[in-house]
Formats: sequence, C-alpha cells, structure tokens
Amino acid sequence: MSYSGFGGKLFDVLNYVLLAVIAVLTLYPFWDSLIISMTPLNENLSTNVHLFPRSITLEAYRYLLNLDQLWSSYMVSIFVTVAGTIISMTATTLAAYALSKKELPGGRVVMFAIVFTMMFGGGIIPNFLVVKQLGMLNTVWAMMIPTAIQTYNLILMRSFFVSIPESLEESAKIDGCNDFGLLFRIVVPLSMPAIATVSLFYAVSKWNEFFTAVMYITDKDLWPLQLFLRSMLLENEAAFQSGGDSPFLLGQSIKMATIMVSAIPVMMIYPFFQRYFVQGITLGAVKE
Amino acid sequence: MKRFRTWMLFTLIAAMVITATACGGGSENGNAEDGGGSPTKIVFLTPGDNAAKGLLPGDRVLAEINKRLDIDLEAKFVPENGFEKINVAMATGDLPDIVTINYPSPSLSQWIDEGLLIPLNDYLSEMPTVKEKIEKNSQWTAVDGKYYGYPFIEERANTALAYRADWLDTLGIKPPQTLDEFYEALKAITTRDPDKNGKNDTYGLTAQKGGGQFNFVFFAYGLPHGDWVLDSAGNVIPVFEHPAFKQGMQYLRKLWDEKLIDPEFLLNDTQKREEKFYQGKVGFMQTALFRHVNRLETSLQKVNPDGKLGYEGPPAGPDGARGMNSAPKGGLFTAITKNAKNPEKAAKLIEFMLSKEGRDLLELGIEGIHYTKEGDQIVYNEAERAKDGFASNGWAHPLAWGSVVWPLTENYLPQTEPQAERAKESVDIATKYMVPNLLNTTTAEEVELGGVLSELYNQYFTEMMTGKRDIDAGIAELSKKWRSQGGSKVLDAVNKAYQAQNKS
Amino acid sequence: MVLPTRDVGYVRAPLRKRRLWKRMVANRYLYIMLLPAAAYYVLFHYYPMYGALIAFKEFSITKGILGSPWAGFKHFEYLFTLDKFWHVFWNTIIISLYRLVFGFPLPLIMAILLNEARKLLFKRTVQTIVYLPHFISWVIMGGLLMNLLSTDGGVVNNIVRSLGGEPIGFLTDDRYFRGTLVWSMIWKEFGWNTIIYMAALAGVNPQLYEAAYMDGANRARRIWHITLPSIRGTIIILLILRIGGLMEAGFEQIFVLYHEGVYNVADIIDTYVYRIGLTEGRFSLAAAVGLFKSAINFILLIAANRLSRMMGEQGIY
Repeated sequence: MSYSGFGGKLFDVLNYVLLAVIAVLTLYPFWDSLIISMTPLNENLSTNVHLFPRSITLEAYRYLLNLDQLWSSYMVSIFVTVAGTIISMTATTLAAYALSKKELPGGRVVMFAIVFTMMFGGGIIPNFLVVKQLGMLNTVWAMMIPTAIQTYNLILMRSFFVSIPESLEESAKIDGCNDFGLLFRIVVPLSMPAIATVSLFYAVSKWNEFFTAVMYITDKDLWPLQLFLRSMLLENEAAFQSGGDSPFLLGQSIKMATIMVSAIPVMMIYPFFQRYFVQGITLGAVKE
Repeated sequence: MKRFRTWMLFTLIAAMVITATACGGGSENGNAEDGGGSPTKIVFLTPGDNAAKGLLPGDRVLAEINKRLDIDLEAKFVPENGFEKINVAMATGDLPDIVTINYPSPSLSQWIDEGLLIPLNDYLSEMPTVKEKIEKNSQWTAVDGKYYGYPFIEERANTALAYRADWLDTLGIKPPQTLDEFYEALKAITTRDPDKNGKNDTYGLTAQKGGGQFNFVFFAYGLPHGDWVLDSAGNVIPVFEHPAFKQGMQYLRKLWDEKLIDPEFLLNDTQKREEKFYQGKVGFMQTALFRHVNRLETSLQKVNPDGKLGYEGPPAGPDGARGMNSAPKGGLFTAITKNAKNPEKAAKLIEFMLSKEGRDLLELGIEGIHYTKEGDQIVYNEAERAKDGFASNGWAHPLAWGSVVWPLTENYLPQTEPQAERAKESVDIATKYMVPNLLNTTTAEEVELGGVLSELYNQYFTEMMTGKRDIDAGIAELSKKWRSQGGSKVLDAVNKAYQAQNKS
Repeated sequence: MVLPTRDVGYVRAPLRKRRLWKRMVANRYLYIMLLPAAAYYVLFHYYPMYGALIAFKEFSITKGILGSPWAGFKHFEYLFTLDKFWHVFWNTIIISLYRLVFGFPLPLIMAILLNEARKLLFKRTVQTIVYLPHFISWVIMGGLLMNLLSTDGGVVNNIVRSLGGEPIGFLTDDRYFRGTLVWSMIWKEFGWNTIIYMAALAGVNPQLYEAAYMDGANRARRIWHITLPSIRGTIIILLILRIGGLMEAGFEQIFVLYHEGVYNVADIIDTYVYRIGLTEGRFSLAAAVGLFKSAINFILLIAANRLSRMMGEQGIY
C-alpha cells in the first residue's frame, strides 16, 4: 500500500525526515557515553563535547572485564532475568486472563484489591520479615519471588486481553476447550505483541533491579550486575565526597564503560522482542 | 509443538518452585550450635570500605584473625553506603554481634535507648587501645556514664585550598596570604588571562553543591568555632548571628558580583569541579588533598603538561584569623549488640582492629606471605595480596578501613605513593587550620532537627551570596525563620549542654 | 459449557445464589489461573500490610510494629508543620502536571508517526534508537545535560549566542529549570514509552487500512478513524495510571539535576524529605510521608477510573 498524491508524498518525506532527526537527537546520550568509554583519560579531562573520538582505547573495558566479580554478577543477573521473567509472565498472564473475563464472579473485587496494593503496602520492615520467614534471604529467589508480579504490567496485560473480541474464543469453546486451552491455543498466539511487550518490561526491570538485592542479599557472590556496578560507581563517588580516603578512584571512561557493560546485553534483546510488534501480524492473520 | 512448549514451561516452573523451597531455611540456622571447643561465631555488619574488594573465600587474613582471637568471624559489608540496610536489619531483629553505624544518628540513639547495645565499660580493661582513645578524646560520647561503642571521629583533616601554581607564576603573584591578597589573586586570574589563550574564559574560584564551601572566609573574619558561637552575654547562638558571618557574606558577595566565582559552581559535583580545574577554567578550589595530591596533579598534567598544583592553608582575615573547616563532630560508631553470644570476644575483635598488631595485619597482611621487609622498606607481594582481596599498589585489605579508622587517621600511605611527602604535608596544613567546636556533643534536638535547620541556612546563604537577597535583611529573616522552625528548641538544648560541659 | 447470564439482577435471591455458585463452578479454571497471583498478593502485599500502621505508632524496635505504642496522627502533624512542606507539595504537583501534559502525548504521537512510516528497516532502526536513552542512568544524563546546557561553553548556549541571544541558565535559572526537567525527561523516556503503543498498533488488522484506502479515506482520516480508536483503550489505561502517580515527580532525575539555587522551583516532597534526613532510620515518619502520598494517588486513581468507566471506557478494575 502506498499513498499517492502530492500531499501524501510530502507527508511521507516530512515524516521520514522528522523521525530521522528525532533518532539522531535521541542517539546522542548513548553515543556520547560510548565515545567517552573509549576515550583515553587525558582527552576526557580536556574536553566536554565528544562527537568523535580522536583516539580510541579499550582500557576501561579491559579493566572491567578483568574483574572476577563482573562475571559472577553477570551470571546472577542473567539467571534472575531469564527465570524471573518466566515466573512473572506465567503468573501475570494467567491472572490477567482470568481477570479479563467480565463474567468471572468476584473478578472486579479481586482486581480492585490488586490495584490497591499499587498504592498501599506495609513498608520495608514487614516485607523484610516475610522474605526472612520464607528463608529467601541471601538466595537468588529473593530477587524474583517478592517482585514476581508488577501490578502495572498485570493491568496492561488484562487490558490487552479485554480488547480481544469474544467471538474469537467462541468457536474453540464450542469445540470443548476449557479456559486453559482457550488461553494457550487462542489468546496467547493472538496476543504476542502484548506478551512480548510485557516480557520486555519484566526482563528490563529485572535486569535493572538492584534495591531488592541491596536489601536481601549480603553475599557478594550473589550480587547481580547492577548492584555490583552501581556500588562500584556510587561508592567511588562517595569516596570522592567523604574526602576520599578509599584506595582508588575511577576515571570517566570506566564510569561510561560500566554503563555500556550493563546496558548492552539488555539492549540487544530488544530487536528480538521487537519482531512481535513491528509487523502487523496477529489479528490480521486470523479469519473473522 | 505448541503444547510441548507449554509443558516445558510448567515443568521448568515446577522445578524452580521445588528448588526454591528446597533451598529455603538453609541460611537460618547458621549459628545455632555454639557449644564445645568450636570458636565463637561473630557476625560483623559494617558499611566498610566502599572502594575495597569483597572478601574472598579462604581469605588468609581473616583466617589469621580467627586464629589469633579464637573466633569464627563473618564480616558482612553493606553495599551502597547502606545505613538503611543496617537500620532494617536491626529493626527486624536480625542483629549481628558487632555493628557499625553513622554517628550521631537517630537510629543509634534509639538502639541505645531500647537497650540493643551492650556498654563497653565492663570490657574496657581488656581493650587498652580503645580505652586510651576514648578517654583521651571521646569521654563526652558517654551516655549516662556508659560507652556504648567505639566512636570513630576523624581528628585530622585533609581539606585545604588548591590552586594553579603555574598560573600564579605566569601572573607573577605569590600564593595569597590574606583575604585582600586572595581577592587580588582571584581578580588577576579572572581578568588577566593566565592561560594566555587570548580568551576571557577563566574564573578565580569554584566550589560545588552541598554547602559549606566558603567557610574559610567566615573563619578569617574571626568566627571562633565551627558549630556554635557565644553572644556577648555568654549565650549560645547560631554562627550566622556572629558579626564575622555578615562580614564574610559581604566579601563573598563582592567576589560573586565581580564574577570572580564560577557562576555555575552550584551545578558542580566533585568530579565536575575537578574537571574545571584540570581544564583551566578556574584557578582556586577548596578540595580534599592527602592521597589526592598526586591524582590531582597528574590529571592536571594530562590536560596541560605545564600545569602545577599548589596548595595552601586559608587566607587570613583583617585580624590575622585563619580557619579552613570545623572539626568533625560525627563519624562512625562500632558497637556490640545484645545478641552477641560472647561479648568479650567481640570486644577483643574491636580492640584488635585498632591495636598495633591488628593494624599491621590489616594494612600489610602476613609477613612472609603478603609482604617482606628489607630494612625499613616494605616489599609488597602483589600476587599473593590479590588472592586475599588486598587492593593493588600497596592498598589495604577489605577489613582495614571504614569501620574504626580511615587511612587519614593513621597517616597511612603505601610505599608506592609517588608524592607521599607532599600528601602528608597537605594533611599537616589542613589539620593546623581545623577550627574547634564550641561543644563536643551533638544534642538529641540537633539530631532530630538539624536537617531542616541546615537546609534553611544553606538556602539563605546561597540566596545572599548570589544576590537574590539583601544580606542584612537576609540574616535577620534567617534568624527569625530558623528559630521558628525548631531553632529555639535546639538553642535551649545546646545552651544546657554548654553549661553542663563547662561545669565538668 | 453454559454461557454466562448477564441480567442476574432480575432473578430472585435464592436462585441468584445458586446461579452464582453455578457460575463459579463454570469458571473454576479461571479461579485456578488466579491462584499463583492470589498467593503472591496475599503473601507479599496483604500479609505485610499491617506494617502501614507504623505511621500511626511510635516505633520501638524491641516491641515491634504491632506492639509499639500508638502515636495517632503525630507524625503527619509534624510533617504538615514543616515550613516547606506545602511548598514542596505544590512543586510536586506542578512538576508532575507538566510531565503529564507534555510528556504523555509525545510517545503517542511518535507511535503514530512510526506507524505511518512504511519502510520496515527504517522503522525498526528509529524505534531501537529512541529506546536507548532509557538505559542511561540519570547520573550520566545529568553530567551530559550540564555539558550541553552550560552557559559557559555549552553547545546549546553557543547556538543561542550565535543567533544573537543572551545565554540562558537552563539549569541555574528558576524560570527555566522546570522546563529543563520536563524536556530532559521526555528526551530520555519517550522512546521507551512508545513501545506500548507500538504493541497495541501491531494488533490492528492491516485489512482495515486497505479497506479505508479503497474507500478513498485520506491519511488524516485513517489515523483518526482506525489508528487512534484501536489504541484508545491503551491510551486510557496509561492515562489513568499516570494520574494515579501524580505524587511521583521523578526523584532520581531531580536529585541529580537540582541544587540550592533552584530549590524554590525544583524541590519535591521526596527530595526534601530525603535531603533533610527526615526518613533516615525513622521508620514511622518515612511511612507517614509514604502514606500521605499514596492516599492522594489513590483518590486520584479512583476518580480517574470512575470517570473513564462513566464515559463507557474500560477501567483498570
């Protein structure tokens, strides 16, 4: 399909130009960080604007990648992200589907009760006690189970499911499918964009999560990547400020390399998820 | 195919759930058994040394401590400067045997009030180093005659004025000794193009956000104490009601109005401030020196090979008074909790960390393994040191700093330090100009209301300095507001504490 | 399988009860699906909820939350008597409203523009790029903004100057600071926020566009009649959630960018309370602050949800 006519063409051209400009402007923060991470110290110190590096060094990366703990932190983060997302998605999808059914008695009350927890909670002490009582302190599960469902994501999933026309499920129902069958045979394949999006949200938030780790994990072997890198940066910052009595301080390039090391893996999963919502698949593929 | 995937998912989850429950509880009963001849388990919760590496399994220094003290030490370092985590651990009954927390702090006061900490008094006889240190400097930290822990309050300073010595040479001026000379120096740097780049792009002085960056001006005008001052009747009043404050404010305002101070200094964090120094945008700044002397100078020279770092004490005021920063009233506090199964052993561990024997072990490691001695010289065995979590270049073990002592306190620099002489000299200068406090103690009222009040002060200070507020009117209004926002209550308490201090 | 009956209201009570039971049995699988979530919410949200009481207590560590003596509204009163509390309260609302008004529509517009771009590779590339800054932390963005916006050699002010203007204190001037906050937030997050609309748009049947095209509808009409209606539900859900988050004005961002010179316009409840050390180790006060914010958010959320349902849209519950 294409748009003919001068107006249509003009719009297309303007649209592409505008999007390209926006892309360039938003690329800048990432580009800048990337360049700084590869720029030698003296150049970083002498100028604030980095469009292109005058010389490149991978020293910062060499330093980071040589830290033993980086790798153990990577493993922890990958495990928590993958397993955590699977757990979260399972619980969220099941609940969102059930709650998307208007005819479910009590459904609205349950949904309200869930939304209520978005706002009100018991605070840090009782939460800590629960995790402790469950014996999860200092285990990887403390980073997955207590945050298994994010209500925001549950609401999004539910609203996607609500918007699926009932008629699509009717035929399967007549074929004798129960609700599990309906969900996995009809609804899930139809909702791949939503599932991909929410999975992405979960994966990113689990990858970036560090507060639960701060609270529940003491064992450095179980520190996820974000906690390791953040504490490396923040504590060096603190070392600066406290009059700096800690042994070593990091340069700018290491700071930026840290961002790259922590962000690049999670950025790379994006195109994988993107597959599911750039192309107009799904509903169109189903006969109505 | 689809069905298969679904089943995979369920199996995976079921497996994980089972492992989760199977793993649970394992960490709970770690210190249940304590009988027999096995060494006492001691859990030590501390923010520790932020920049140190973590303890590695099989750490030989830790093993050595355990051997010498017959204990089984588990040190838990809290990430992210996490006093919050320590607070939560204590509030949920997850008490370690020994804990380090910031001092003074609401949490610490509460722990003492509620009896979570054990007084050290009974054990002091076995803690000679601790006893000596407390009795020499920190008797005032006692609560009802009892010492609830070892207060670590820095007695030395490392902050002074740093400047571009090469610029002063170029301009043909000497390091300024008085406020007038300081003004002239800033003016020369701002207007006479010290970097000879033909551009009017330099400022005399920069600072950073967070306040407290220009106190040396007030001290030069004769502000006698860092925390509180006395009025003519001998009552305690806030520092901004001292005449020196107004004079200092006027001086700073003059610097600001004549654009001798970096107009964007409020945006600076430490890193940004240093960057401006390296990049030749400013000539003077107040900064931490000591170990940073070498770092600052080499960084400067990376940008500008001819750059030279100078440092000096604060300029003197009209009556010759000088002062850089007030002596700290707070720091860290290491205490034994009521949970300690063997408080005596815990006390011995604290003593050990401060004793000569302990310092040698934590700073240098085990002789023959981590280092060897050649006469006076210490030769570091970096390969062995790395195995036990020592930082490189002669820096210390994860347990060395951050609980009861910092390198500054000990004047510790490894022998690899390139500018050790200058580093130590800078500390002598900074310490010489440390301004004493009127009171040793921090009253409970200050702990509670201090945040709000200093916040108010900072805001008025900035507004008066940057010309958003008239100085006379500003000080008058600050006095009024400050009192109504809890200052009166604090003053009452402080006056009482002052009288009590004078009596004893 | 019995289809649900909608007009239960007309049936007599006993029958209704029986029908309810029948409906519950008919939906048993749905209840099973709810189980994991129910367990999760009970265990990690409702069971610990007693902790909120701490805001009304004088918390004692040895007595625990439930055993601590009551303090009534003491902590709230203390909060409200703080000189600056209402000032920062209004700052929070104003900054949040700016974020809502300017920050909310842009991802939507971006999604529509992307949807109109037909070249798949281009579309994907742009989408990936705009998503990147989400992963750059505010600390880093802060440093970057200071370099760009400095009145002393910053790129933006160099442009302003070369156009004959006076340098603008984007980060130092009261009048510009909030604008800088909002636009930098948009810069960092709008791409990320576009994702959800893109996902919603992926659900639109391309045949609808084809049909409209055949009918001679121009582009504006197609956007208006096909694109927008098909993501209306998502827009409304997101809007309700944003309104229910009005008391969150972006702590991390403000904390990085603000300073004494702009406290007047930039200080929000979270930054103020944090800076004056009000919450450090004081669990009761911290809980009171949280509860105060939550109560306002909750009222707003309920109001927004009700309004949405009254207008015939779906709500979040």
